Amino acid sequence: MSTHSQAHSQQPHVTGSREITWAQAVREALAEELRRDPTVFLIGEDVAEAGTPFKVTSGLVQEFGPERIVDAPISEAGFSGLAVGAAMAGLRPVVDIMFGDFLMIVMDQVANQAAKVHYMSGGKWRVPIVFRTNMGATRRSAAQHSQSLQAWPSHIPGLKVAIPATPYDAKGLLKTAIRDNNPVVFFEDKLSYQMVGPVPLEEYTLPFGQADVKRAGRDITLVATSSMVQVALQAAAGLSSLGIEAEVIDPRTTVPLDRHTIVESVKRTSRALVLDEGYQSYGVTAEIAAVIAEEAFYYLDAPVQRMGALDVPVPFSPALEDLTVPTVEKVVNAARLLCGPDRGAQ
Amino acid sequence: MTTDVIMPVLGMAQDSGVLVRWLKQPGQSVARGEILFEVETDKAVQEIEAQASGILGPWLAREGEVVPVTQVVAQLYAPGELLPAALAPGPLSAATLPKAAAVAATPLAARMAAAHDIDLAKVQTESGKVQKADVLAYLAATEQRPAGRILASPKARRLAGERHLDLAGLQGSGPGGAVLAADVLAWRPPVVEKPVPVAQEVRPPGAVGKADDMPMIPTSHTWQRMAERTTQAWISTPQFYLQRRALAPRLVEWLHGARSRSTQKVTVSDLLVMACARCLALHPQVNRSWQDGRLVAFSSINVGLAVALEDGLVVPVIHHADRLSLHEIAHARAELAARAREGRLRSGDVTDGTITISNLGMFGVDRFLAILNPPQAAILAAGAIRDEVVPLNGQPAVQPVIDLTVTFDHRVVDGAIAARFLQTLAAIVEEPLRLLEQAPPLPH
Repeated sequence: MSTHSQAHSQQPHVTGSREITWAQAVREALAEELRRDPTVFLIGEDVAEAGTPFKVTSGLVQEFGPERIVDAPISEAGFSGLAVGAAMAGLRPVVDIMFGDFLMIVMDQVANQAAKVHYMSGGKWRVPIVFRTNMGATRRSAAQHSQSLQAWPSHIPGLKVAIPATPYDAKGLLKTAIRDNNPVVFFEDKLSYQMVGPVPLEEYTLPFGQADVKRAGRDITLVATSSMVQVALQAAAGLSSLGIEAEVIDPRTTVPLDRHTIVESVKRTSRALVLDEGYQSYGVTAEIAAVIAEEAFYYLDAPVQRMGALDVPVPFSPALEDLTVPTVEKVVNAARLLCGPDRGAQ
Repeated sequence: MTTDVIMPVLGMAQDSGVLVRWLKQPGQSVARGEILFEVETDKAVQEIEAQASGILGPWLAREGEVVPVTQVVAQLYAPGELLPAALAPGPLSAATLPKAAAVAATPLAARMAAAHDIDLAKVQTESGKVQKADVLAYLAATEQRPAGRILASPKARRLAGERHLDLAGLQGSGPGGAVLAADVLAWRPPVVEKPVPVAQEVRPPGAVGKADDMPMIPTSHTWQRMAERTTQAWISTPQFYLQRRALAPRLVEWLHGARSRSTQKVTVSDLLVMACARCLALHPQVNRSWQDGRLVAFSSINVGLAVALEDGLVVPVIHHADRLSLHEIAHARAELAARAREGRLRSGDVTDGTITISNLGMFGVDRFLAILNPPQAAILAAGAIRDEVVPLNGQPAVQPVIDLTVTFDHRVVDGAIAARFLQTLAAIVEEPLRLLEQAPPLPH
């Protein structure tokens, strides 16, 4: 799984320049793959006529019909198991898990079945399946609809995990996920569906395990995933006005993880702050911080710091909920401290 | 019946107060509501009233003392109640106070001291009462003391290791004084070994003003480094000096001969570089250094030559001088000196010297003591070659002589090793042909 990506930004080369929303980009990815491969189908709650609560799959049932855009009853474990079986039988299901929090219900199908069938069958069975779900708080959805659980599937061998941060990355990575012969859990930030970004007209895919340098800088590396990429970029802009140039690295997939790009960046900047919206303890940030400590130790000029969500159930109260996630201000302050008293002191 | 007078709790987070001033003397009659004493907290000074009427007993806390809240500071006795003789009215003497009460401090300072487990008695203060700044100064002083592991980032450790720098000698700018990469990179190699005689305006006695009143002379980076490096060497190196006069007719003869034979201008310094390099080869014990508590050997012989510039002193280094011919030495010296005067010295030109020569002979200086150039173990101070009356074969004779003074680091060499080194050096100066002899060190 190890990859050696080039440390350059994978910004889209748009020939026919246009900007579309995240929801449109994901819908395009699904539609293109549905057209391209007749074995691909979509299953989940409210995916057909309703087009999901976030209107991501709107219109697909009109083009591909109810046999390929399947509305399932409220029975995540059941339709996930169905999909795992369908994948073993040769189809390519895209399972829509309406909220990332519902992964708990299907965790046996994901972690014990989908992730292990290829191994336990001695390679005779494969499970080309995508569990498309979401993460992210501050949508006032309360404790059971606001969690960012990307660390859970990332912990299980046999699963790949994509966690894009832009419409461009979401489309390119989702197409790769659907074509992958292994189970993939695909996380999208709930607040990103209306995010607008450049997406090429022509078809493209993005490789897994290749981080994207979202911003180049020399003083500190901000490793950020999904929702935290925008936070990191805004923080970097603020830090720049203080004389601190932050590099923002988006791993884009937690499994496989592009250790090389992260480590090489930290070797140059000597400082790292890792951001992810999952709970901080035992989280994605901890894993990436450990990678940095292991592979860039002798280049570190400050302790590796991580910043995730507070280890609390996500509050419904907006005032409290906003306190639980890393913010631009928190990132700026943490980065300034890491860069030392002489930096950003103006 | 007696009533205890206590240090009151005046604030939420207050655990002590300073008893600023007593307003009643022991033995004085006090009415309830009268002001007994004043207390200072970090917020304000407050007057404390008597909670009962009575006769004030002896002060149990001195003015200026930090007293924990609720601690008894005095007692009020009922009228007519007999005071214990030992507690008879009278100003409390320091001797009768408990030892812990001897240090005056502000509440904030006392709290900081407690938090850091500092004995207030050890904190120095100029105001007579320990202030927050005094505690901070104490903390800073004790933190900088190199005890145990030196705080440094992994990157700083690696960089220091690659540069053979001792972390203990670096000033850390990180949290808790930790050495960071920037501190290692900011370190500059020693470029200075002795103060240059500088003409200074001499003020008549009594006219010397304070620094604030005196005009500041702008100094260059080179000058600053010279000040820092000489100070460091002077303070941290146990230096001793050996002096020897060498007869110089053969040296002068060699100099004139070499000048007539070479297109490159040859100087006395060039001859001394060659002699010193040979001496180090013959006395490898001197080509060593005391670093980080250990004796280490330099791997090559590189001779530095002090060059005085307008804005300070630099010491360009002639590398591997022991392998160079006199012509090559002269050529290298001329080029380095030219680069130094033009401010074009590269870092490689001034690093890795293993001995330094300072020659003030051209200024007519007979002899002088030079300050070591760390991490080197020796520096040669060469005086002017001049005619002196010397005994020669039992008769006074006039001969050119040169006074050689070598400063040594006593952690690297002892007097005997140093003396043999100087003996060889003088012997070469007196008979430069010895350079041609691939002989072992001179017998001693």
